[in-house]
Amino acid sequence: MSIARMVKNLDYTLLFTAAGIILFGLVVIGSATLEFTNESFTQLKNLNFITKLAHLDFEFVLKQIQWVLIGLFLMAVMIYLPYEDLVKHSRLLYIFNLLILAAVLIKGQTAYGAQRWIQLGPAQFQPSEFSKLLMILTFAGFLVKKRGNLNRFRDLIPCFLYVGAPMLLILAQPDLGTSMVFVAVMFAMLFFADAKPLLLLKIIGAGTVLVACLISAHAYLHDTDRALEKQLAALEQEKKQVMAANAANSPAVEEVEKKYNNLLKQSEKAHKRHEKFHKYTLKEYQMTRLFIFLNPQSDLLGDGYQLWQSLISIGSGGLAGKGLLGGTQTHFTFLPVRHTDFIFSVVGEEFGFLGALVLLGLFLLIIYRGIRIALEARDFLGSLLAVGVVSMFAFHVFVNIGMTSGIMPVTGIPLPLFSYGGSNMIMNLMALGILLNVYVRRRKILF
Amino acid sequence: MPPMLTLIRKRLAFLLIASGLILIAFTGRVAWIQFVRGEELRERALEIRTRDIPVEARRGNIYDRNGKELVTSVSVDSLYAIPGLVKDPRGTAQKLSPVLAVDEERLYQILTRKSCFEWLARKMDAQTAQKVKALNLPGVFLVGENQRYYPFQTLAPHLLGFTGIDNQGLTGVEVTFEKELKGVPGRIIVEQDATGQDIPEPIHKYISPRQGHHLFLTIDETIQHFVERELDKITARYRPKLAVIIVMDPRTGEILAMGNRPTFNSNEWLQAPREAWDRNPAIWYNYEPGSTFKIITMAAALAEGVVKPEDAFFDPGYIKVADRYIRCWYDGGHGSQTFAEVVMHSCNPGFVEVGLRVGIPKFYQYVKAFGFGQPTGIDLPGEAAGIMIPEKKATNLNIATMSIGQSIAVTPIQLLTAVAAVANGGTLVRPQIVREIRDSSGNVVKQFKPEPVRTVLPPETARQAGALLENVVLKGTGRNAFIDGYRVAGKTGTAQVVGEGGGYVTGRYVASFAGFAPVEDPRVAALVMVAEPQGGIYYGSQVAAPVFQAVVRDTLHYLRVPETPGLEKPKDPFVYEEPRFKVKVPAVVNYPVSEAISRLVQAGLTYQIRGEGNIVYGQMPGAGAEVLNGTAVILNLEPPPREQRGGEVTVPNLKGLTIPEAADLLKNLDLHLELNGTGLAGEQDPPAGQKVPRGTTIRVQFQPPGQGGEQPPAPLEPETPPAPASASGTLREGGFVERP
Repeated sequence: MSIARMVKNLDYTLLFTAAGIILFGLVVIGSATLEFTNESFTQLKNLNFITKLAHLDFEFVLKQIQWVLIGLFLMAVMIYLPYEDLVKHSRLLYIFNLLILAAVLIKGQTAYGAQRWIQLGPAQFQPSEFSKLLMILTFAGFLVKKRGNLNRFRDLIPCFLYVGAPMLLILAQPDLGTSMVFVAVMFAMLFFADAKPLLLLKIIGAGTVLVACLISAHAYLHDTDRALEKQLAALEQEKKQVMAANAANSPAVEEVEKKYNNLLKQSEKAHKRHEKFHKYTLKEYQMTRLFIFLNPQSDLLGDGYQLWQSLISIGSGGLAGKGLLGGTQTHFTFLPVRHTDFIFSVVGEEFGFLGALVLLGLFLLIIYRGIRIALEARDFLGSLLAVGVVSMFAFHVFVNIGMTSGIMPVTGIPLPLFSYGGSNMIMNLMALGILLNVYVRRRKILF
Repeated sequence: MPPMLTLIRKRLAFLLIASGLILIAFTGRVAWIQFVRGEELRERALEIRTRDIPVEARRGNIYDRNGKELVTSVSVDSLYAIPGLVKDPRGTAQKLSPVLAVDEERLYQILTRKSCFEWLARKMDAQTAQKVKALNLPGVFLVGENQRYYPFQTLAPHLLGFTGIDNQGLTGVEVTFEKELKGVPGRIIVEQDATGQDIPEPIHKYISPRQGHHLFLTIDETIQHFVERELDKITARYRPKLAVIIVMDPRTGEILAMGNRPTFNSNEWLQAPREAWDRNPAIWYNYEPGSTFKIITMAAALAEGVVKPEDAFFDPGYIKVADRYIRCWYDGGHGSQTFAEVVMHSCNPGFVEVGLRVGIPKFYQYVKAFGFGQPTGIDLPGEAAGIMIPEKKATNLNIATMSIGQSIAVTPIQLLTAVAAVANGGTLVRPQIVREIRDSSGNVVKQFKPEPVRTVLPPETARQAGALLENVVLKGTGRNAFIDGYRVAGKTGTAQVVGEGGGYVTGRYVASFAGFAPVEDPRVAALVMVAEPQGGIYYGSQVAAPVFQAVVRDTLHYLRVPETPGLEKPKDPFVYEEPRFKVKVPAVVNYPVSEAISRLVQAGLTYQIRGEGNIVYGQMPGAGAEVLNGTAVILNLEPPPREQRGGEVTVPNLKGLTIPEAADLLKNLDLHLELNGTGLAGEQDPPAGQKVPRGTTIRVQFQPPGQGGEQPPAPLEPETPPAPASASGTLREGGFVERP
């Protein structure tokens, strides 16, 4: 296929939507990274929109533009290589995927308590981002042969193992968010590949029940441990009083000592059980962070701080927002990680409900175009790839906005094409490349 | 269309619809946050980016019952800067530096700090504040703060209390009425960023505080002065451990004056020793009231009808209860007498008998009705409840001793409240110290009315009791409390102090007097309590009654209470002499003070101390002299000047002393110690009593205790360390002599 024909056949709706999101993102990043400590806040607030743009902080914007350019180049590469050829090498790609993920665990750099980055020349990159893409490509190749043969649970087990291996490596970083992306994409692709919906639903249901059991088990262990600790502390006070008031071996002292030792044993037992639970599942602080979204006000200065500031940011935006550079939450640095994971809160504060609505609309448009591409694909493999990319994209959007608006746990998932971050931007553009790849090689409608 | 394609369509449509629905749900969520919770969250956003600096309100004043100012607050100005609003930090620093006497560079540093609020000077004097105001600098602001001031310094400091660094009440009414006095603090609101740094052109608002309410006490400043004056006299004369005088209006329960010793200066309370200010003895000190408690016994007995004033009693000098003998303070007993005379003479066996007639349940009923065993509820912090043997455990012996005021501990305020109930016709009233609370413009916010707690006695009984108590002052042990022109009722009390170990301590007494006047229409009830007076005199009749007389006399005159004409003055003042016998004065020169004192007390003597130190250098009268018991031996603690000392000294007896004690003693005499062994001193060479030239070396053999053949010269009963007969004091039963 000639390049000229490819260019002619590109999905320009998709491209322009994506470009719109990226440009919007650049403006918001420029605003989010600007801190007011030197420039006059009131002066800036009253400038017109265009002049304000000139006052943005360009440091991160320029970096992001650089990532976008690299991403666009790789996107072009992705469009050019026929997807059948890519999938042909799926075994090789799968092994490559495992290798880079293993490399992270061995040589990766740690930040925020997780190993996610690998130094590659002057830049750092995040293999787990690219791993998503590799997984879509390889799993599509794996699944396309099994189509129509996925009716029993038995049939699904190989699929789980296939996706499970790289997923577990990511979970070990630990990166719960990305692992969940794997699970979501896998189910979407299985669903599309004719696996029995009821069966999938049962598995998802079972998973949900399992998680619920773990949570309530933890709640039980945690609460008994705490309650016993409290009782123990109270008894210790009592013991001290009794000891002070009575002779060393009077019956009162003996009785209270016996009681104390009994409770101490119970408490130690409960504590051990609680610790064992955390040893095999998530750590205490991870659990707390995951479920703080249910009630961020319970710990406003600790685990709930980020989320609460995010809610304040969005909430104080109102209909039209405080205007570009007008966000007090953003510019007075109350909102943490505002140019990456919590960038949607900045949109909510400075551009208000309308800004958020526009952004969500653009994302929906991309999802819609992606699904059209799946529909128009030349063959089933193409459709499968498109579904994989669209579901990944959609899941990212859902999880990120869900977390900033306080209805989902806070996991480190950036907003695709919008948040600041090189690996993520490049990966998303490459994912769009795969979509366009499928599109330019679509079924020809005969005129 | 092939069926496969339809299936694909269906599933894609499902994915699209699902995605669309989720995004619509998010839109709804964002709308919820922004529109439904928007207002609240916008406020939160403003709240977290503004910093509140509290500006304390001017604390309310405290006045006496006549509107005389007892406590006030002095306004002082403080200066703060909002660095974001300072236009020219260099120039501002230059101008402020000479006025504030602060280094210019330092001011410049403060003014250019990345902060939203900085204090430049706290509580400046008025002149400086004026000068700063005149400079009229942008970005720096004056704010009024205040400082507590007590114009009378040492007037009723325990009652008034004092405040801490941040003008918060710490003791006394300052803490009880903290809420009312404090007012509502104002605020300085400044905008800031997440790290507390300033932001350009911040919002800056000043919300002024609301001044605290004023307190009008029941205290009368003049009467309080009488009390303080008498307390000073007591202190000078008896050097007691504690002294308390409370004056009350028995009709309303209003406290007219309340004073304590030791005392302190409210303005400089931090300089005073902690034990002087941390408690108010008038409401906290638990002591055995002794004979003053007989008022309660008498009232209960009269109310129950178990005794009439003319009933006949016989006092052989003791009474046997259970298997114990309780002696009368008057050796040989009062013999045959009526109950009126029993009261007049404060006769112990008589009261014991009357108490026993009342019986355990009734006796407790009255004691509790009079308010003993629970705090009176006076509006002061730290009130004690007194100590009582639980009714279930009480025996007849307990009742017998309680009848004469032993084996029960009460606080001064409890006793006075009970006496006031007898005085006012039988109603127990809650003691009050605040009459009114008024706001800063003088409107009454709250008024305190008399609060009758319960009726304890029928009026007739109260009147009868008053008459009997009047007899005490007219003819009995209370004669020293007689006031010319007024009918005074009252009762003396002398009780031994309960030591830490639980037993009574020799030589330590509480002298007290409780009473009221005039009997026909009591206007004043007062209690004088002197704990552990020194100097040999310790009877309530001699220590406390004259003080009561002075305070109540002046108070009655000051209140212009009309005199009752035709009253006859008691013939002579009451002086009780214990039967005396001759004793030999022991030798105490060169003894450590504590040992010297216990030797004297053991010998039945008292002491007076001259000078300061640990070793007795001289005694008067000298060792071996025969004197009457109770005579005070003067102990001189000042070492004689060196040049006056002769070339020779007497070798002291070191037996039983520890090494440091012995070394200290010898060093003071210019003698050297050569020691052998460890433990307590035994053999010495040269022996005690020998005259040797200064500089002689004394060889002393020290032995572990119990190995030396001889007993140490220390008294058999080690002296109990001075300790308050406080809340921890245990009540001991029987086996003592009760004094009037």
